[in-house]
Amino acid sequence: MKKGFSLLLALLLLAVPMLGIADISELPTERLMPLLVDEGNLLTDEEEIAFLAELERISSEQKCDVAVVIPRTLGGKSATAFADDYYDLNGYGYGSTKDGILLMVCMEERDYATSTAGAAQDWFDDATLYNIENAFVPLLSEGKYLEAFETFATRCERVLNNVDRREVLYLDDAAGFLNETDRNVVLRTLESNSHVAGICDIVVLTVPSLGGQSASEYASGLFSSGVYRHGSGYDKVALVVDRDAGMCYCVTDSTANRYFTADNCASLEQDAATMLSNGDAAGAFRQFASSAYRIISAFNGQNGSPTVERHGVQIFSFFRFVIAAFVGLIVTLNVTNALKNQLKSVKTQSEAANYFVQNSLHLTESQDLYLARHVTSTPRVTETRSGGGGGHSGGSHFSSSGISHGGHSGKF
Amino acid sequence: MSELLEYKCPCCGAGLTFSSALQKMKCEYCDSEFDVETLKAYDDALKKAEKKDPEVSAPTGSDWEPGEQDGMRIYSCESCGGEVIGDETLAASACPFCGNPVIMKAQFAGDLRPDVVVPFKLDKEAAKKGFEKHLLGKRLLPKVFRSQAHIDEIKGVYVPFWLFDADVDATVQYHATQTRSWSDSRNNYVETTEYSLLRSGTMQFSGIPVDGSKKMDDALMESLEPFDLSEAVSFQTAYLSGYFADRYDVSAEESIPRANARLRISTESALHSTIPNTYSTVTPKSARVKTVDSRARYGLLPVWLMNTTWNGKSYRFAMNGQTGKFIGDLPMDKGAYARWWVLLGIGVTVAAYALMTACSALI
Repeated sequence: MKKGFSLLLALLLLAVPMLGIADISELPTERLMPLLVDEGNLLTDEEEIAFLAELERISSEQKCDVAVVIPRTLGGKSATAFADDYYDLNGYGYGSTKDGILLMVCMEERDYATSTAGAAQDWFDDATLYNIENAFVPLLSEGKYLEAFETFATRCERVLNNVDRREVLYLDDAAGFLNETDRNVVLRTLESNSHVAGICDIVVLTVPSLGGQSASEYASGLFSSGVYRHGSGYDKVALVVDRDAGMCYCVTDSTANRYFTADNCASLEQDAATMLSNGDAAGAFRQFASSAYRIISAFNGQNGSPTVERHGVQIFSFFRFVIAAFVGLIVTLNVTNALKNQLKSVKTQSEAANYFVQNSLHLTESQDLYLARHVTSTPRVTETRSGGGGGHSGGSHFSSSGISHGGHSGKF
Repeated sequence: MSELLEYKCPCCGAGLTFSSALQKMKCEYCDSEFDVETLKAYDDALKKAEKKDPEVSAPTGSDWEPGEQDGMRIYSCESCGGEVIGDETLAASACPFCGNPVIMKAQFAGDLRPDVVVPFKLDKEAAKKGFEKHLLGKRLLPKVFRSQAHIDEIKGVYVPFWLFDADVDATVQYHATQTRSWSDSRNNYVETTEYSLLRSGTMQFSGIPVDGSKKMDDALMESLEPFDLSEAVSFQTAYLSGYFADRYDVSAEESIPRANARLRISTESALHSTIPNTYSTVTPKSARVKTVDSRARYGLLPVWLMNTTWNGKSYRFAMNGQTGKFIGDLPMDKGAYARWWVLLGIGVTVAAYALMTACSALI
C-alpha cells in the first residue's frame, strides 16, 4: 500500500515538468517523500524500516538530507536528470538552501546517479563523490544492495562530519535581510575580499536581536569558535547588524584592531547604517566588504613596502649572484662533460636491438587489467564560487526547475 | 711444424692478397685479379695434379729449449722458407722475410673452421683517414697529440666472433597508471587509474656478436658494432690473404652469458614497445625471458687496429672494416679542461647575472 502510494505520487510529481510547470516558486518547501523510496523492491520491509531510520538520523544530525531512491523506471530521462528532478519536485533538502544528497539506483538499465544540492554541492565535491562511488558501486554490481546503500549513507555521514561549512562563517543572515540572489553575491564578495586581503576574514552577521548581548560578545563567541576558514592565525572583522534595535556594529578581534582603528570602525558603521536605512542591505554589506578590504590593503602596504625598499636591492643582488653562479656551474658542468665525452668512444653495448629480426615479434598474450582508481584533490590557489564541472562530466548541472545540482551518474 | 697456406698468382707466382676495394684476390706484382671462387677451383685442380711433398722443410738454426715453445706456433714460409713465429691463436699473418701473406691452415681445421666471414670493405687508407677524422673537433684533445701521435702500426685483423641466433619466448608483467586531471571551482583533481599489464610473446634475434678473442678488449669490439651480417659470406681462406687473423680462444659456451644479457634487455624492450602510449607510467614488475632455441655461428669480422704511443702511454684505436665506424679513447688536456671550467663558468655567471638584472629593470 505504502509503495503503491509512493509510486503514484512520484509519477504525478515527475509529470509536472512535462506539463511545462517548472517554476521554482511552486516547488514544495517541505519534503514530500521519505528519505528512502524503494520501488524496485531491492530491500525487504525490515531492511527498509531500519535503513530509513538510519537515513533520518543522519539527515537530522547533519542538517543535510541523505536520501536513497530506487525507481522502477527513469521514464525516458537520463539518470542525472531524473535524480535532479526527483530531488527538487519532492522537496528534498535541508534548510533554506535545500542542502542534501540523493542516490538514485534504477535496475531497468542498471543506472545510478548521485544528485547534490545547496551547500552539499560544495561539501560533496567531485573527488569526494568519486571516493564514495568507488565504495558502493562494486557492491551494487555484486547485488549486495543493502550493503551498498549503507556504505553510501555511512560515507556521506563521514564526509558531513568533517565538512567545512564555510557559508556560515562569512555571512550569517539570520535576520533575513537578503534574498537568495543577494545572499550569493554578498557571500562571494566577502569570500573573495577575505582571500585577497590575506590576513583577515571579513564577516557579516545579522541577528533579529542580540538579546542583551553586546555585539562584541556575540561576534567574539563566533570568532573563538575556531570554525573560521582562516583559523586562529588570522584576524577577523565583522559587521554585526541587530535588526530589532536597528544598530550596526563593526567588531574586530584583538589583532585586527591594529588597523581597524576606532575611526575606521565608526566610518564603516556609518556607511552601513546609511545604506541599510535606504533598504539596500546587499549594497551595505558589499560596501562593508570593500571598505574593510581597502583598510587591510593599506595596512599591508604600510608594513610591507618600506622593508622591501630599504633592503631590497642589496639582498636581491646577492640572491641574483647566487642564482647566476648556480646557472654558471650547471652550464659549465654540462659543457665540460660533453667535451670530455667526445674523447670517450669505447663503451659496451647494453642491448641487441640491431640484431632483432624484423617482424619476428608475435604476441601470444596481451592483457590490460584494471586494478583500481583513486582521486586526489588539492585546493586551487585562486578560489571562486562560479565554476561548474570544469571539464568533468560529473560537474554542476541543472534540474528542470533550473536549480543547480552536483553529482555523478554511471552504470553498475 | 705447422702448415701454412699461401695463394700464389697463377700468372707470375707472386703472393696474392684480398683486395677490399675489388672484393677479389689481386697480385701486387703483375696486377692480375682473380675471383675468390675461381682461384679456389684453380688451386684445388693444381693441388690434385701436383705431387705432394711429404712435409715442409725443417727449420734451420738451434733447437728450441724444452717448454720454450709453449703457447707458440712456428711456421715455415712456403715462398722463402723463412720462419714465422706466432702465438697459438694466430691464423693469418705475413712472412717477416718476404712479406708474402700466409694463412695457418691448421687454425681452421675441423671445429675451428669459421662458418662465415665478413670481408673487408675498407682499406688501410680509409683507416688512416678515419683516424685523422677521429681527432677532429675534440676541444680537450692535446694539440701536440695530433702532431706527435704517429700510428705505430695499422693491422687489418679478422677478429673471431660468436654470432648467436636465438628464438625467445618472454613474458613481462608491468604496473601501469593513467592519470586525468580537471578542476572545479574549488579544487584541482587528479584521477589515477591503475592497471596490471601482461605481455607475452616470441621473437627472434640473429647474429648477436660476442668477441671470441681474449686478446681483443670486449668493450672495444662492442663499440665497433653494428656489423651488417647480411653481407657475410661462407668462409674461404682466400678472404684472409693479406690480413691478420686469430682463431677463437673463448668458447661459445663461455660467450653465452654475454649474449643472454644483451638479448634479455632487447626482449623486454620489444615487449614494452607493444604497450600503447595512453599510459602515464609503465613500470616492469617481473620478467621471464626464455631462450627456446639458440644457435652459435663462428664468424670472422673485419677490424682495422691501430696503436699509437704518446707521453709513454699506449692508445689503441679500431675501425669497423665494413662500416668505417671509428672508435678509441683519446687523452685529455687537463690544462684545457681547467681553462674551460674557469672561463666558461665566469662567462656564464656574468651573462646570467646581467640577464637577470636587465629583466629586473624591465619589470
